[in-house]
Amino acid sequence: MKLLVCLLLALTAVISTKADRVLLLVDNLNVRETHSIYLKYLQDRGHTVSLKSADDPSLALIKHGEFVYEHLILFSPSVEEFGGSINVQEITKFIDGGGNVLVAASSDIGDAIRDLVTENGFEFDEEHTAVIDHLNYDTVLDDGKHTTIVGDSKFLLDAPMIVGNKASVGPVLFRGVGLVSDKDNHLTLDILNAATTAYSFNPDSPIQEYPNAVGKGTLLVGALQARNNARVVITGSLDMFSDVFINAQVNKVGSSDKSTKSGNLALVTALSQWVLKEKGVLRVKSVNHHRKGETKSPHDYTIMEQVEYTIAIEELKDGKWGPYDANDVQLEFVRIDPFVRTSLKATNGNFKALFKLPDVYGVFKFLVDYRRVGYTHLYSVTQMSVRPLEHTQYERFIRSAFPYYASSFSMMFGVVIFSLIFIHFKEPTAAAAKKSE
Amino acid sequence: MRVATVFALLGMAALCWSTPYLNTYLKPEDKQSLKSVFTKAFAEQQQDISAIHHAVGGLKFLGESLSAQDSQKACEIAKKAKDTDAKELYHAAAIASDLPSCALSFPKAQETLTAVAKDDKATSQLIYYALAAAEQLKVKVDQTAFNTALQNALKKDDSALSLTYGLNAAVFFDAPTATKYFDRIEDLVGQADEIDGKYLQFEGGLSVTAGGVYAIYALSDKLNKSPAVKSDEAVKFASYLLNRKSVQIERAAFLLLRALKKLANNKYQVPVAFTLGSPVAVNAGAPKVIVKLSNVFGETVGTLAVNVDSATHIPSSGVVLSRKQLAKVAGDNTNTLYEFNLMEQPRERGFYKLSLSAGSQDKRLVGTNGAEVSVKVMTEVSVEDVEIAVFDREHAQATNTQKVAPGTKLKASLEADTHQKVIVKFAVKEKQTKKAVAVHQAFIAFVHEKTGKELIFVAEPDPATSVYKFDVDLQKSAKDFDGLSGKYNIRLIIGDSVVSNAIDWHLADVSLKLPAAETKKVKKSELINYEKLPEIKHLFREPEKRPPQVVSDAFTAICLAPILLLFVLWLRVGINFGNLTPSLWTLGFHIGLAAVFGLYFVFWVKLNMFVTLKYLAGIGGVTFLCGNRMLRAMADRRKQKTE
Repeated sequence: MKLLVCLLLALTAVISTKADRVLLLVDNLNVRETHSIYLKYLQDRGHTVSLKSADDPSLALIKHGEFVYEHLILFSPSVEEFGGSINVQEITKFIDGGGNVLVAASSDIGDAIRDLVTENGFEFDEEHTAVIDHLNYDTVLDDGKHTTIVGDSKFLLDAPMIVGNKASVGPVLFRGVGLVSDKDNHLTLDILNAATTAYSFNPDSPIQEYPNAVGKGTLLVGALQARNNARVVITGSLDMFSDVFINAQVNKVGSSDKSTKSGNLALVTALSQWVLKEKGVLRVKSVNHHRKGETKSPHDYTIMEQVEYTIAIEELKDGKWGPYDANDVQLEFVRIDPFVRTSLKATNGNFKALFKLPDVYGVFKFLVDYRRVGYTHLYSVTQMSVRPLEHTQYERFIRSAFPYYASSFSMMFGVVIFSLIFIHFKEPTAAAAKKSE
Repeated sequence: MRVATVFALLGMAALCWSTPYLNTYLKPEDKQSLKSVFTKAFAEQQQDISAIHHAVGGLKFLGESLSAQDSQKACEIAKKAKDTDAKELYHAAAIASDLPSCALSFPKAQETLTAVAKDDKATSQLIYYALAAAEQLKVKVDQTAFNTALQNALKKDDSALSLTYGLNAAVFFDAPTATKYFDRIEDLVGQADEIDGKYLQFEGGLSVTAGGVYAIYALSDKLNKSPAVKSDEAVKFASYLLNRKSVQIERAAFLLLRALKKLANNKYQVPVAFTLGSPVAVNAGAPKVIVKLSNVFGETVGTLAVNVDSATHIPSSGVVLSRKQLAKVAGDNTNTLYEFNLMEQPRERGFYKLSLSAGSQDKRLVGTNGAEVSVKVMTEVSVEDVEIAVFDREHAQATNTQKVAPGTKLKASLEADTHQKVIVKFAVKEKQTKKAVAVHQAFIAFVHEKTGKELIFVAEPDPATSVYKFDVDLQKSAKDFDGLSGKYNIRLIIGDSVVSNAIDWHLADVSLKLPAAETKKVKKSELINYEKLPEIKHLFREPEKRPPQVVSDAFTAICLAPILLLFVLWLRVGINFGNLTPSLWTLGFHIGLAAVFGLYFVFWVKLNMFVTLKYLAGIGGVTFLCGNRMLRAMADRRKQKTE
């Protein structure tokens, strides 16, 4: 019987070596020209992009139970009903199966996109509404309604894996519909918030009711990484990806600086790399554990032994798996609750820890549960048993027990001597006794 | 009565059938982006003669000249064309004609091109290539043969694509032959699809539309006949082409530019673009609205008589101005700009729709009526009479109201708890007229100083006095604040699309004392943790406390004492071995007994029980046997003695 059960559960996504297939759905095939820089970027990154109209009757994400695409990009805000077999349920199924989705909407938003986003922990404001900011709009690109707003990159989420280098992104131009995240969904990430002065409403009607999104609660970009590591990025602005916004110089109202280039390209490329799983993907290469000074995993451990645990983690970089480097990977030694939690020391992708097993026996697990913003969830469990000391392994020469030892051994010695004397003793005769007197 | 009906009908017609007009032209930045498309194609696709042709041609349309080195390079590529392929000949000839000096010689050209006319399967596209190549290479071909071939090709395929190439080919025929194709223009236009009532395009998208539009006007120019295209249609074609100006494919970009060039300069229909030459925002400081009237290339279409037919204030739908002539902008070199002063009278703030029309001697101009541009009149506002008060929620009226001077922050820091209300009142007025203004955004933001957490309230105007008022009952709103106590900044945010000075004013600070909200318990399965967790060190069980060594050593000595006593007493009593019967058994028994206890000692030091038992069995057996023999011998001896 094998007592030690080694269980390795690496929940990293399977990255196929072949080019990733991307389905890009649009309302208007014009996107090919208006968003050419972004499309070219996608192709240059080695993705096979199929650009199709959202109501194309031949659309399908799943054929014969298999995914036809790895990623889905929805540049079709106004779609009410997708063509072919695609609908909100199928896209949800696609995400549940590990597919990644990028959604870009606009003020002209249809029910299909709104429903899809609601399924993913966010909510778009209603049709014809727009994010308005009278203090942060672009004076050149705006049509007068103050809906072409300048998003400040300091409101970006602190996650270099998702947004790139926050300091160098620059102001982001945005025109579109507001987004709010569902506070009960713990997987959502607020990527870019609007300023306190922003709000989302129909610019042409007076504010009669409380806006659906106000201030920093108004999201310009939101993201979600599901429990199966499928990624979803949602933004209310399709224009954010357009050639015009990418090439634009930012002319923020009230600012005399005209030379700042928009940060849209930096942001959308960083977001795309993340959502298309080019970045932030981790996997476990191997797990190894043994007693200190040995090299092979033992059958079981005894309490209080020194144990060395090594886990090799790899990160996907530019399409290749390389060693991952971090100093915040932690190992837990768990029997229902963690008994030990210790940091792992990294050397070239090998994360190592040396620790003393607790003085409690039972079935334990070596557990690495590594979840960081922007990275896929890494979860590795190795089960093994820890038994108590054998009777020969206890301490044998206890100083304070020496009286017991001494009395036992003196008794034994006594028995040997006494038996020798007693058996061979000859009672002296009376005469001899007298004589001696 | 009858006249009125006619006017009503006309009005209705005008409502549902608004005249299309062109609201954009090829701006310098668009030209720049097209230029980069061409230069990139030229640099990256040296192998592709078609790309080189379109790049060279496109740059020529943009008025950009190639460097001598690049011209040389392009010419070399043209020279390498296979002269057995009509398409390659077409591209090569086109490149050569676009370059200042590039002489080509293709010995087989005549043969190749003539063969096209004889080919039954030749499409109108191939015929176009052959004719264009023949024209530019100055190769004489049989026009009648080509005419028949083209007729056949068009009979087989009369799609928009085929017709477009057919018409383009027809341009190369002599006038009488070309006239036969002139009626085909109507067929082609009939195939156009309308999008959103604004654009007209042919099936196949940009390249077919651009090719078709070019062919229509090129043929009309050649035959000096007005094409069967309505002026509305011409404008819609132009709108479509300009809508696609961000194209990134060099071939489509080339065709687009060629068609736009033709639309800007032909004998029959030149669409006029109406664009706003000044910012959308108009105010007292910058009262003039400048309108640019140009062709699709942004060039002048001659001096026009431009009128504002009407200016409508959109929020109130009131017409504020009608029939006003625009003046030419002084010092305008482009001869395209016209201006007028919208702010001659004070204007209500808001968006205005200006309907424009232009009149000209030039009969070619189309789309000169019903153009619209929108501008907005901005106003400056000031926030006045700002009052802030914290008072008991039981009271109906605010007590201890404090005024805040414009642009300053209340010096005293306010304090409030759940028994109190915070109230802010203010009036938003137009700076000039001091009239109360209703703005789109009138928000009060409470921003927590430490965490940056914010809560935003909408202030509403009193319908009677138009004073904005906002109050918050802290007992009711405590949960909106998430029970977060501490110092909050109160900010007043005023904004509107027609207000030129949006305001974000830090009014005052208030310290709120709120009951802490219950923290929601998150289920362990739902918890998502992105942080590093605190380390856990296992607490090992403490070993039991032991007595001091002196004590245990002393007791060890005491325990060993009796054996000494034994020897002492024995010495006093006296010992002897009188009964000793020397034999092997006796020796064996005593050694065996000592060995058994010796084994116990070794067991204590290092052996385990099983090994010990094994040894014990051997030693014990021998000892038992020896003991038995020894005792028997002693017993025998005693028996003898007594007998």
